[in-house]
Amino acid sequence: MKKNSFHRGFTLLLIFGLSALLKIESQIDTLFIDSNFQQANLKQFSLIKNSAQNSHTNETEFFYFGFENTYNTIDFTIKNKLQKNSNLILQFTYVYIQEIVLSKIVNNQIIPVYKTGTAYNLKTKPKAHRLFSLPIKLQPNETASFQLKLKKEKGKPLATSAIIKSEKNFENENFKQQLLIGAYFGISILSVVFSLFIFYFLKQSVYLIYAIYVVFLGLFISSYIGVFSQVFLSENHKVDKYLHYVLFSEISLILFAVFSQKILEAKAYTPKLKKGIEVLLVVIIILRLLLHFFFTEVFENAVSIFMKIWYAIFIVLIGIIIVQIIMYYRKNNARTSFFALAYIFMILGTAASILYHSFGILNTYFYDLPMLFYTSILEVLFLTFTVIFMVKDIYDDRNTLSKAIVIQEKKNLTAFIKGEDKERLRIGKELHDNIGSQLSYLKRVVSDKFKDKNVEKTIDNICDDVRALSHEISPSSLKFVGFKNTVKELANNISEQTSLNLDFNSHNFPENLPEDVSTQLYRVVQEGLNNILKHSKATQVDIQLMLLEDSLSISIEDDGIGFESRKDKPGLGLKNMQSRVQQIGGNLSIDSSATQGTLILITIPYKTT
Amino acid sequence: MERQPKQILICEDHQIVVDGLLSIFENQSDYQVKGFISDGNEVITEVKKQMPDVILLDLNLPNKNGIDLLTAIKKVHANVKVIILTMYNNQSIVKKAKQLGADGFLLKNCSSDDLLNALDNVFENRTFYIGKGVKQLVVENDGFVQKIKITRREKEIIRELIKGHNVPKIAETLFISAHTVETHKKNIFKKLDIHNSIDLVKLVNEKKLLS
Repeated sequence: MKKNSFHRGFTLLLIFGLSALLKIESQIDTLFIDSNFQQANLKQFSLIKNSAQNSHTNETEFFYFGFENTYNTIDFTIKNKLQKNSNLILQFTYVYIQEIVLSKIVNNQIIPVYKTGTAYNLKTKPKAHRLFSLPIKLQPNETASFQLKLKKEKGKPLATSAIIKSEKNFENENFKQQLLIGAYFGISILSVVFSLFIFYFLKQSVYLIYAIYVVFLGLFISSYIGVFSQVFLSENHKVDKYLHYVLFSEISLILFAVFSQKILEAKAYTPKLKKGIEVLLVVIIILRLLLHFFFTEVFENAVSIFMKIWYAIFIVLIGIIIVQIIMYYRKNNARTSFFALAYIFMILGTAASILYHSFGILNTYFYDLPMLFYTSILEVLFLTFTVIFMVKDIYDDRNTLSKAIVIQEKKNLTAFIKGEDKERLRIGKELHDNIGSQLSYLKRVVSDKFKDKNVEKTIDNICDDVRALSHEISPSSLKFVGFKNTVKELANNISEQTSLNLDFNSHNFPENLPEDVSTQLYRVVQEGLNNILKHSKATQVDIQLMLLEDSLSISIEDDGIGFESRKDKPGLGLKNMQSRVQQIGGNLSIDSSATQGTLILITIPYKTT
Repeated sequence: MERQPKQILICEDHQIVVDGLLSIFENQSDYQVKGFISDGNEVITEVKKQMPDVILLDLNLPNKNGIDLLTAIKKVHANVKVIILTMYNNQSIVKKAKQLGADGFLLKNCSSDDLLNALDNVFENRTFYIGKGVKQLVVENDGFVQKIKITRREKEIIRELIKGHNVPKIAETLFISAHTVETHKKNIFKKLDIHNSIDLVKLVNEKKLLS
């Protein structure tokens, strides 16, 4: 077993080594075009000459020219083995190459075929494509030698892949790229619309900042992959300074920083780090703009050092935000997790493009689209999730708050009712005891002295009024005869004193209920009957008290006009009733309609002992 | 033979009322105030100690109310006459007092004559004395079986129930909550002393409940 796997490993190693050898050999070979040809990397079959003396050819699959280098010539030969014309396309992945000159060598004569690049108008692009794509036509069996001259800005490195593709393969891959680019902008537009929508309702700047960030990130990415100049710039435009690219990238950086500070509530949680970020942002942006427009001209040799300073600050910036994420994670982990994911993708993309463009270390292109493009899709996706979670948090908070408000309102109402009951009790007692007693004394004194029946009668009337008022305010008979009998008498009195026909029915309803239960129930019934008397225009009312298996039910049914058709809506009264019933653990429901009258139904749990 | 004046115990917490009562009995040879109590808690001990002939009892005494005291008084002193003297004028209270063994019921604003009448009455006749102005008791026939009343809403529910509809369906048809329908149903079954809808259908047909 052991021996076997060793053999296998050895064989694999051998194959690997051989293929590597073959690869090196193919680097100096001619490109042969047969019917199976799809694409080939130019670097693998070309000879490169550099303008810089000490520059070395790196081992990567793509062309990388360092800071000091200004122009490069690349010689290559293609042999068409087909019996027909062969249409090829030479494509560069980088969109800001200053000058591209492709020449054909015929009889040792260099004949320029294409001359394009950022130094020229956009219309010099041989093919209307986001990238520099140069068509190459070969006759049947033709062997052609070419010289490619790439000129770059001094003081800036250049990294680009150069691929020769068959026309068919170019179209196929281009279609896939279009789909990916379409997906990117689709996600971006949805995110922008969503966050603007939320901003419209919540009026919180973070959503607006996010929408603008996604817009600028989209502009940055589109100028990075060549879509921007393709779509928005006219044919006569030159992109030699590519100001838009630098501006979009810096603005999106600022917006991202501002957005991250909002998301992580840095003002409240990490105010010092937030200050640090602000300072670094200003420094980094000034440096970047100077680098781009000024340093390259003035301090040519210092540019790479300034670039490194820029990267160092950038890394510190990234580090600070990572610390903020960790600190904020404790507070809100769902939201922070998504943000952290988005952030990781952003860092990955940025790091990949720095490694590629500035150091020529890593090839980060898939389907001719840079890693930054893919990570941006994921970044926007996860940032949008973050925003969605923020909205969810806000709604959750609001719900908790409104629940708290409802509870508080209930408490207030309960307190109000309790206060009212206490006060009623006090006034009732006062009327009954003091005023009543003194009136009866007065009556006796007056009648003894004056023997006047009229005076006596008047005082008796006052006594009756005081008694009735006292009873209405605080029905003391509840404690003597209980709820049932008090309601029954109330019903009788109303029947006698008004035109209302009031039927009282009780089925095994208990005589004695706890005092607070009977007080609250009586108040509810009183309020219900008052409503009926005052507003309902009813002629028939049924009050029913029932003892059920495990509950008591009290219903008041009238044939009046209901609540809907009434002008004065019974707001507080109903709330009061509801609150009183709730206080004793019961349930109150009111069904009211203009044609069916009103039904007040109270049920409270009750155990027969 | 001179009659012994009847001994009166006044249970009343308002001095002004007590004063009024005292002034009535000042010139009376038939009645004599033996004492007055203002605290509900002391009534029973005083009754035991003094064994009065008649008690004027306020219903609203501090600590213990008159209704609760009534039974207790009769228990410790079966022969004592108790006349309720109160501000309350409710049929239900009068009825309750009578049930619990009170001998008379007076309002506090009664005249002196009314009070003396009441006293004379409770000793001479054995009927319950009702003072002037006190709400007369409605005569209720105890053997009377209350006729079952089905309300309008209940009839609606019964109509739906005998169609075979269940509670949620009825709630939907009548635009009321299921809880309301459920309670109505329970009430109806309880009143009619039935346990299922089949009984209900039978009963509706037999007794023409819906007509």
